[in-house]
Amino acid sequence: MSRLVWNEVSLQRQGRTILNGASLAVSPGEMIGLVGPNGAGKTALLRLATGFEKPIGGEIRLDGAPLSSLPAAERARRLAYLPQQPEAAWPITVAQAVSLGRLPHGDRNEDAVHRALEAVGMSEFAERPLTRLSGGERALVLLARALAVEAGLIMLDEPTANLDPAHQLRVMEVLRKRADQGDAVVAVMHDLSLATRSCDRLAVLHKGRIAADGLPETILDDPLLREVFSITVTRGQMEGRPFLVPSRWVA
Amino acid sequence: MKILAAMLALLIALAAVSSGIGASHLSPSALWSDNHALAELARQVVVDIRLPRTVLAILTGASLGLAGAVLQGLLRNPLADPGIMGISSTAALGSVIAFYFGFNLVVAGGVLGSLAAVLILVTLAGRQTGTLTLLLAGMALSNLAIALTSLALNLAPSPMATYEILFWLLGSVADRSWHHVTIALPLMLAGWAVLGSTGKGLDALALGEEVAHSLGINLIRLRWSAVAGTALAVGAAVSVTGSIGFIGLVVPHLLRPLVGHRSARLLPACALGGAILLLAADIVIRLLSLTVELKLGVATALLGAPFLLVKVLRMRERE
Repeated sequence: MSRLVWNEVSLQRQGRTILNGASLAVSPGEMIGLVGPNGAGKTALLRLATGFEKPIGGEIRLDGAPLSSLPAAERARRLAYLPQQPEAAWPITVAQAVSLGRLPHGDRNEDAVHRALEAVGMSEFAERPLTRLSGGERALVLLARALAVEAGLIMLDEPTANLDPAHQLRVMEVLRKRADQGDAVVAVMHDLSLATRSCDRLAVLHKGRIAADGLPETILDDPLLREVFSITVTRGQMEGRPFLVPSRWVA
Repeated sequence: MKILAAMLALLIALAAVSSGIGASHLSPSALWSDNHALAELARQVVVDIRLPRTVLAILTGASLGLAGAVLQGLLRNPLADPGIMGISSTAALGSVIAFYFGFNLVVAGGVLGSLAAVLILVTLAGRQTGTLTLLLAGMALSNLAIALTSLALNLAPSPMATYEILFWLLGSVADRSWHHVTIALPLMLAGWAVLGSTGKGLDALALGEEVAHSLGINLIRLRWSAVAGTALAVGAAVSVTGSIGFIGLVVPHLLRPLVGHRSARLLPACALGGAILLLAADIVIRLLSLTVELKLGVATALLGAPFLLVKVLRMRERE
């Protein structure tokens, strides 16, 4: 149950501005979709929160305390992160990969590992080598690794990229459940339709700043979509929730 | 744990065999002979000649096996090895340069040489460097070190010095004394301790640098530990035995399927496995009754190079 606040954060890489005073807050029980075009700074925003990169301006607070004041292990226990590129250097088993999530706690809490595998429906794969799974199965296992931290706050960089529709829906369902149980969830998403349907709130990142932040039903209006994403969309309703499908690219 | 215990038992058995064989056909039981002259001779042969040789083979093998496992884990690359990556040859170069300035500096030269090599490689591999780039860098480094070593041989003050350096470069634990053990041991132990501390970090690195970082692993400290530990252990080993290749490549490769990928088991297993392999190789070359004893470094290269070729072929098939 954690609250994370990015306060006016800025980041530069090799003289290029990546983030320029971006502010965002995520509260317990809330699932935020972080959307924006390629290069908007979405990954950078998450990396600042894991401490993988350092901001040149602004600050990030976790439950009121500046992130920079937290020891690495403490931060790792309270904030779980799933990066974009799935990697597996060795054919470690699914159970071993997921139990890495317990590293910050210094335990091998098998219950937590079991719960995480259960949550993604991969329990029967526990002893399989990670390298022999399909892309979708591997993504679910790596998600379970992040869940096994039981951090209270989970950040995911494009958790549904390269997944077939069934796996995309499964991942979003798992995240939804975590948020309903009180976790704070931030997911970088490219699929606006999926993001609109699954998230409580959307934050639109554009040119290193949060251009809009609010309810999925209202936030992605036509002028914003044209300005930020250079698209027009077709809208509809499904199960009482709005969704949108990109229809045309505009110059 | 059963495998580790079995490996330890095998190592002890090999050490006993190693103390019992050599150029003179003296059995260690002669140590307790009533004939004082024979007992004294046996003491000299077993305690002063065979034991240091045995101990050095164990220490060197363990250093190379452990360093190989840590480098592979750090670089997430099964082809990483102190020899292939030019660390051993750069350490040898450091020792050869130091050789000109007196014996006690040879070890320092070896450690500095390997430190320089690992630093160059880890800096290159810092972010997302592919296998190919890294191996090419190792190859370039290795070639440069060999060229400079040849230059040193070329400019050596006397043919005797050239001969001595050349033979030392082939890699061997024969004709080493306790003096060699005592100068290398403290550096190796320090290296092992540092390498052993990388376990958790290497486990987390299996899922990539960003995951490892998010799990609270200090990547900078991890990299430095692997660099410093390899430099100490391999540098010290090379400076007393010359370059002995392929142990760091072969041992982790053989042991990963047996003991799994968790560092807490893999690292001690690779240290034990390196010691077993090198000691066994040293026993075999003593048993082969050739007119000239085969150098240990030559033997490991004859076994290791085809192994590498097979491995590259398998990788090609997978691609």
